[in-house]
Amino acid sequence: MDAGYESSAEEVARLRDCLNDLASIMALPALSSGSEPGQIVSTLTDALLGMLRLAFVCVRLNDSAGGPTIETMRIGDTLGGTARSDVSFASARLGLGGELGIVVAGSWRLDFPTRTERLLLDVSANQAAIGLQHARLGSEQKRIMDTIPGLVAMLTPAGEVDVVNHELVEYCGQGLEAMKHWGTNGTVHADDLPRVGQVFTQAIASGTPYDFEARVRRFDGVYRWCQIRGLPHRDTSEHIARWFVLLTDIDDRKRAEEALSRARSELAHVSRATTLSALTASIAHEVNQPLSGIITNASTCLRMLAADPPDIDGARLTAKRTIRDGNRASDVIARLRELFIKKEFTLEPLDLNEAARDVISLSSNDLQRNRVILQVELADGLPFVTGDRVQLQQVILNLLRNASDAMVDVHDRPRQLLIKTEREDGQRVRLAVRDAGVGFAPRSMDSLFDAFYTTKSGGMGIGLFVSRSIVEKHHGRLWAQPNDGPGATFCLSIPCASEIVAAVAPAVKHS
Amino acid sequence: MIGPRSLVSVVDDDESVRESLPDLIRQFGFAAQAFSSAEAFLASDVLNQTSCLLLDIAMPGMSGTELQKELLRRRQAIPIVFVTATDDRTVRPRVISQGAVECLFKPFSETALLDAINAALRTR
Repeated sequence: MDAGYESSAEEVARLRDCLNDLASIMALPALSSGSEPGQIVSTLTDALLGMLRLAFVCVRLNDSAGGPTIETMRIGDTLGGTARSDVSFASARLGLGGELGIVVAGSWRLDFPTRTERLLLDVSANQAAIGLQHARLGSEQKRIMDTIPGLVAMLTPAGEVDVVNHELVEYCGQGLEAMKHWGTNGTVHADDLPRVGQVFTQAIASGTPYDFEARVRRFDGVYRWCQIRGLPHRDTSEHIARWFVLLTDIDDRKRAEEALSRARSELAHVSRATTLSALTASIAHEVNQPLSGIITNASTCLRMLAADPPDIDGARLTAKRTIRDGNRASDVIARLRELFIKKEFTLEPLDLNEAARDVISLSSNDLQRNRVILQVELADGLPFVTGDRVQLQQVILNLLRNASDAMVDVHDRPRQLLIKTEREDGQRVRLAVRDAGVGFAPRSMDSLFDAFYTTKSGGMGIGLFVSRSIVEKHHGRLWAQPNDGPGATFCLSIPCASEIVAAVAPAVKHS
Repeated sequence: MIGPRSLVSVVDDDESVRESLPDLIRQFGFAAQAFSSAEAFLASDVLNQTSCLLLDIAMPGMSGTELQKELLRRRQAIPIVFVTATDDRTVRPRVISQGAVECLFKPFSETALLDAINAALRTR
């Protein structure tokens, strides 16, 4: 009974030790994912030597790429140098079919391995195999990424740079560790960073693909335009496992585009000038024709009257022709006037927010291309106004374009553009467009709205002039004010629907 | 008056010119005849009697300058005074270098017209 009790106590102790060993094997961080194969092997051999008091342990790793195998041998307990010839062996395969390699353990004890020792050896080998498998997958992934002829990176679900391919390292001239700090180390051009940060953070938070353009520093320190696209990769449970990022150097294309757009605007300028000169020529032709008739007929008329005897009938006829030619000249002028003045003006109740939204979506591409950060603050519950939707939208579009154009040469600060609507006192609605652009000199404030006043090389200078006349037709006001900081704010204020009806109604009664 | 009056032919697609110009020319003391196109003038029987041709430049069909070339080709040496409503002043040296006597820009004064006709008649 004593012996039974004793052996049972030993059994319990052995079991406890075994469980402890198992727990420590499971807890070995190097055997889980994220370690190098060499580190995994050395952790495995250390653990086995310690737990099983082995004479030696050998590990052979098969190289996944078919390269040379790696063999490691560690000598353990030598039993104080006692010469022993009998060694017991046990081996365990790494991987299900031993495809990853093999572990061979040797002990001086003849009963090696006991069932417990066998279990510990198998579990250790299994844990190591999982780690090796992960390492192999990781290096496989990296190798595949390296073979992609493009600039590729992989991010963690939180958006941290995890893996970068060889080409990206070469392109940026910096390694993975440096690349992890792309947000602060000048990898992205300072002017683009606020916008990029905004887009990127939002995409990571919402898990939606992103696609933007920004200047990225190349190995030689030159910033080049890149298109940066990110795509979330989801696991089977729809959680984002990682992000794949592809960078494309579009600098040459971008430059070509810019040159094209410059050429196009030059061309537009030239063609406007050409149109203008063609227009002048055709006006001259149209007007000169009847003028010539007037002079010829009048000359004839005078000569007929001066004749002896005067040719009264002839003079009367030529005088009539003079009047006809005069009317013809005035018809020409009337036709020209019609060409320049659009008569239709459709009044309807409209939501200024909605009108603004249409314009914003229409110009968002342009704004993005000009790297403008648009902030939209449309007031809730804005009362309706009465007006011509198309014309008011033209005004808003014009203000947005001006604001964007005013920031083209801004490189030392974000190109912030704020479009805002609000209700004013006295039944009016205000829309303000605030830019961080070049602004204007206070003394030019009055001329801003003059026809043909422009600070832009490509502009005709009629945008604000036409805009103001449209707003005034809506019984509104359009004005500009310099900002406290850089840039200017343009505001339009028009009466709400009820008030404009009241303002128009008496005028209708009088007429 | 010695002999028949010199004939001034007007070729212009604008009807009011064809109405008014011959009347003034007659007041100057010349004979006048109007044609609505270069082709009509070429087809007429006054080619050999015309002492001066008042010729519009821009016309549908054959233009004034084309008629000028055609007359040269036919060796019809009729002095030409061009009349144009354009304000493109580069036209004048061009047509004069090709043999025209004068080029009048509409609207022109009766003095300018009379001077041009007289200059044309002097070349005969």
